[in-house]
Amino acid sequence: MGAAGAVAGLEWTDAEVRSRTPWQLFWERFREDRVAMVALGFVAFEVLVALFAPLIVHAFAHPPNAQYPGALDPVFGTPTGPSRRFLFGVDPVGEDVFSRVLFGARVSLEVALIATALSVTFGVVFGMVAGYYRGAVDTVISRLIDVTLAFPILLLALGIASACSLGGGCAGGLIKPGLGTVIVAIVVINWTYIGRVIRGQVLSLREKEFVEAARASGAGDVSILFREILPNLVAPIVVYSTLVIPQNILLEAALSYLGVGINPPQASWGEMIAEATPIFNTAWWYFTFPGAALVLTVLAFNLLGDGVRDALDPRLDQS
Amino acid sequence: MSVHVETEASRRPSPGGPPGGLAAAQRALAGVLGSSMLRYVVRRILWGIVLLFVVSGLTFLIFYAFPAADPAALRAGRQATPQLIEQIRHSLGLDKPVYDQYWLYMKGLVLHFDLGYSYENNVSVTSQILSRLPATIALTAGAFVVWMLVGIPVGILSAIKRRSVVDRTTMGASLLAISAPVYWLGLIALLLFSQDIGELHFLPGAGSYTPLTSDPTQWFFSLLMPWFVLAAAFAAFYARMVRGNLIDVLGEDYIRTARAKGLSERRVILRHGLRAALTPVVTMAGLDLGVLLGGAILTETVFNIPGVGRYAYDSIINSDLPAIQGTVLFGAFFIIVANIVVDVLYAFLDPRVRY
Amino acid sequence: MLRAFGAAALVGATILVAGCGGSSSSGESESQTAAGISTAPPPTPTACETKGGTLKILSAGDVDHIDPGQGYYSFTYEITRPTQRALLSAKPGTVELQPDLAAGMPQVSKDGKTVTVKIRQGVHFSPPVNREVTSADVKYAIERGFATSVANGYAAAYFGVIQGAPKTAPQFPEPISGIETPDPSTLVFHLTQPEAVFVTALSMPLTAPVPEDYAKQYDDQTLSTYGLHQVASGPYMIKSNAAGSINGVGYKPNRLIDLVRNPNWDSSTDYRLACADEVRFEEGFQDPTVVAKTILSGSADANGDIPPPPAELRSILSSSTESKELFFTPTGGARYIALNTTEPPFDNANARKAVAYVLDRNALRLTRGGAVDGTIATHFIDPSFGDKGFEQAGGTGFNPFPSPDFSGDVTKAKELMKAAGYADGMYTGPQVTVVADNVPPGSDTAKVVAADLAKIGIKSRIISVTHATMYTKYCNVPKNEPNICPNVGWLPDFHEPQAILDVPFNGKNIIPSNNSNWPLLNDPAINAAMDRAEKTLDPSKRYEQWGKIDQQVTETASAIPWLWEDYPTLFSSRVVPALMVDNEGAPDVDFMSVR
Repeated sequence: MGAAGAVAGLEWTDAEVRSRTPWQLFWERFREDRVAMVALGFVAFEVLVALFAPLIVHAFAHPPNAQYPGALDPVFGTPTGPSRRFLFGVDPVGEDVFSRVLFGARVSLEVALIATALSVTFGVVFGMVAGYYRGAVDTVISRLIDVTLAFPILLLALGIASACSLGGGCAGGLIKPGLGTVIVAIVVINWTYIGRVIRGQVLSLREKEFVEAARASGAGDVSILFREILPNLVAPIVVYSTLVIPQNILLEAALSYLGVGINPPQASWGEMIAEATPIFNTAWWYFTFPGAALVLTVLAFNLLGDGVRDALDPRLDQS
Repeated sequence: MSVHVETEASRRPSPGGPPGGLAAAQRALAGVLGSSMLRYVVRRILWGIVLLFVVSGLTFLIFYAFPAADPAALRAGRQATPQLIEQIRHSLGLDKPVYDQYWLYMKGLVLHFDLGYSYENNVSVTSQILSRLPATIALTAGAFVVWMLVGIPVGILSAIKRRSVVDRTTMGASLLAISAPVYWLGLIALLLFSQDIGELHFLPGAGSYTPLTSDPTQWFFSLLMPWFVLAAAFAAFYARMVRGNLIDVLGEDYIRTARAKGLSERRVILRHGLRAALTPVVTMAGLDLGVLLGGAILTETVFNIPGVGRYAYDSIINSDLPAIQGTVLFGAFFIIVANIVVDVLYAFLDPRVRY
Repeated sequence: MLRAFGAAALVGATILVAGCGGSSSSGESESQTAAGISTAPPPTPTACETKGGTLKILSAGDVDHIDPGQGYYSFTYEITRPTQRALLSAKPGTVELQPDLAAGMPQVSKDGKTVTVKIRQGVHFSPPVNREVTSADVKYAIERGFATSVANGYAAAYFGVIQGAPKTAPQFPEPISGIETPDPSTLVFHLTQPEAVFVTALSMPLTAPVPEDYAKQYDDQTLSTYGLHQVASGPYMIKSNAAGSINGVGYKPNRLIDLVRNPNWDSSTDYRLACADEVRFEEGFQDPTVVAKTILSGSADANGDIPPPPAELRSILSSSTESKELFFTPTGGARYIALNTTEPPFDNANARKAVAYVLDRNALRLTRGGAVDGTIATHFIDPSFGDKGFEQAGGTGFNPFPSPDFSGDVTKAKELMKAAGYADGMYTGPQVTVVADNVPPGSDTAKVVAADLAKIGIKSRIISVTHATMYTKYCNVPKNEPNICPNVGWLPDFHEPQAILDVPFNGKNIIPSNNSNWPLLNDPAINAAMDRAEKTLDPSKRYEQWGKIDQQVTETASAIPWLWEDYPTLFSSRVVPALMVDNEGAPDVDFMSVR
């Protein structure tokens, strides 16, 4: 294949001018952002740690819910700090803080990811429907969003969590007290933000020519929504998700801190910080390590989010 | 010649560009007196009232229909006979169907502004909220001042000195501040600075809040740590937002034009860039303020400030239904009012918004 | 901070109340906890070191009810003791009763059915009532306790035996024919049957006088508001305005209770010293460490309901100066784990005994602070009762479920599980439900219980809820009761073994809601023994009987006691300490003075 363009003295190679898909563009730009790559690495590391926590703990530490009263002072019951046996010290019941921090990662990541996925799903679906169909449907959904946003967030979350905290749970037992309740509380609050954003986007997208064209060629509403409009929403959805995952991690921790949601003896960073609060000046390890883990995790997701947003929209050199 | 003409033109009010100067104010004034602005404000206020009703109904549904604890049993105390508990339930009106209770409650609220009486100690919820309001306002207003005074200049500076060491440091610090939960930051701050248990003892610790009227000095110093801790995440967020907005705006065409015309950088930024960059900041600030006035639960908890947020949390824990209802309505009220004020301000500044 | 009121839950988690009563015994001599820490109270002051000044007491929570006729909580008694004069009250530094509003000890007829009390002359109400207290005021005070507008929690239990006491509560206070007032300074009670603890119960705040003419307008509302307009008979009163209202003046709910001198108090009629001019109870302190340090620094004088945490106790005890300001008081009751005896698997006595063997009481005690917190309990009557039931129950020697170091005996437990029908000693049934506090130390206790149960194969599902929910929705409601309620306990209203054992373990006290017989124990033999003991007027016979009942109840393993708690009270060096031995060591502001 070089003969066609052969010119004396020049050699055309097989290198073509490749056209790159937006995703390849995105990935190349992302790869160049060192900070974002480090953040991605840390997040990946943390996901692995969370997944393999049982193995790690089995090999290097103690089961997270096993109690070692021997590590407590016999006269005052105060926990001992970091030592060779307990890397991060023990908590007031004699549990291994290191193991609990690791297992807490599972809870935080699980809740944040599931809650984000669910709230994005609901938000996108409702946002699309509201923005596309407009009229009465839009009014209802927009008003629903207004009402939800008028509620003080933490109080709403606390209310849902406490209403569902009784043994039977709520919604006919569908939502059991524990992780499920926290996820539901977060989703109820969160879907509104992306709902609004998506609605706005769809409102303008529906006027564009390619939608007109699709309609003219006989495509149904649902097909238009999923084939034409949704692909154009991917960018805002990704951007929103990266913004909201770290916030949901913090929200879950706040709810655990306030005492709702996670059932003992399950470990959760927010709950550990809450338990550490009365003794924080004497048992510093018990609030420092879960707190640091929380901060690092949220920081990593924030940096990752920044990197994703920058790579998606490099129009302005923001770094 | 053409340079001057265009700078003058950029200052004349135009439909699409940023509103400028005196002429815009004149138009806005005409707008206020005019019916379209008034109609807009009235519409927003009416919708706000409807929202409050809906919020109160939902609160009833969440807390009264699925009470986590039994207020009648709590009030009756230990060893009360079942008959006594039932009588108390009856006197509190809890044996009525939920919609009946709701109707009675709303009647009291609308006709007498009566938020009911606490199940816990029979004191009027309104008086409790009002007595705790000064602490919440003090905490919120102070934090607001701190985060605006810190966040906005930092954001501007970082935008101007983009990619410098200053910028990277401030943005790094901002990210950290956003990532740390306020209760954790509070604990660290206490561990470092509080007089009773901290390493460097120079600020009053948790629980040292005294009202402004009884001891202004102690009031001020006891709020310093809470102000900075609460403001940290907001300052960081606003710094990032201002920086981002300013960078965006400074890349706009009309800014490039102004620069090309030889306007000093300072004038470019201050005159043209800031106004556009800061408008959304004002919006957010108003909304954030509204939310916080409903009570910053986590900060009030860590520093033991007797504010409305703490009261709301305590009443949920104790299933003190009237108090829950009162504090939720109170918080929602501020959120809605903040939204209305911000929307009206926006409509004031940009008439296109008044659809 | 938020979770710190777990320490306040020390008091709250077990709805503890202590009254006074009985004669002193080893309770006031040197008694040792397992940590070798003395539980001797400070010597009761006999005179004020200085007159005047302001005392500051710090607390986490508020009173349960501000109305002295409703109060049923140890912290509330810190307010009622200085402001309301009951007929009898405890001699300072002891649990022995002496006449307070009464002019002398009550006279009981031979058949025990008539009790006569003389009222002291010269006791006046505080403004705006001002007049002298008469027997009619005490009569009304007791009558109002039965009405639902006031709803006193112990009126029926201790005073229901009065002739004419209503069997179903009237809505507003109604006269009781069995309380006679032949003259303004004499009170006669006619009882339907003898009640051994009736005289002791006259020390409860319900017997503090309430002026009917002034209070009726408040009591005749669906929920009485007398509490917010109360008048005092003691040396102090809650600060009020001219009309008598304390709301927002001396009483700011969850913030402050401000006591000032009662101008109408006559010191010659009272044994109280009342040295300080003002006492401020400042509430809302969530962090016990901060409270302890504030007291040590002298900015506050004592802890009201939020004891110093174990870490602070350690540092205080290691300082020779600070340790002089710290006192431990036996609370008089026990903490225990209640097993629901009406539902499988704990309807089987062997299964319950297996649990009693497997529980690591040492680890349980560590959740509350280790040996400094008290003695590991092996039955219910607390050591401070001495020969008033404790020794009769076998003292520390009575331990039907022994284990090495109190750490639990898994082998024995498995044997009993086999006897209960589980083949290899391991439980094979469904999950058991445990409803526990969602804050430490209650949540920690539940965790330890769950871990211990797992040793015999019992898997637990811990439902973690707030205090209020735990009691009013679950543990106090027999219908909804889970298999295990681990955060319960009982403190006596006064120093009589009946007050420890009757309400929590007598089958007749099981009620559909607000039930305090958590194991739902309804053993006819035990019930009958209790009914007999309640009528035994002779003290030594009575204590024998209750001692045996304690043993019987313990052997059913329907509730497993694990701690006889000692409560720490910390004073600042600025004041002369004084505490109520009969009320968990609460600071006694009637006797504290500024140095």
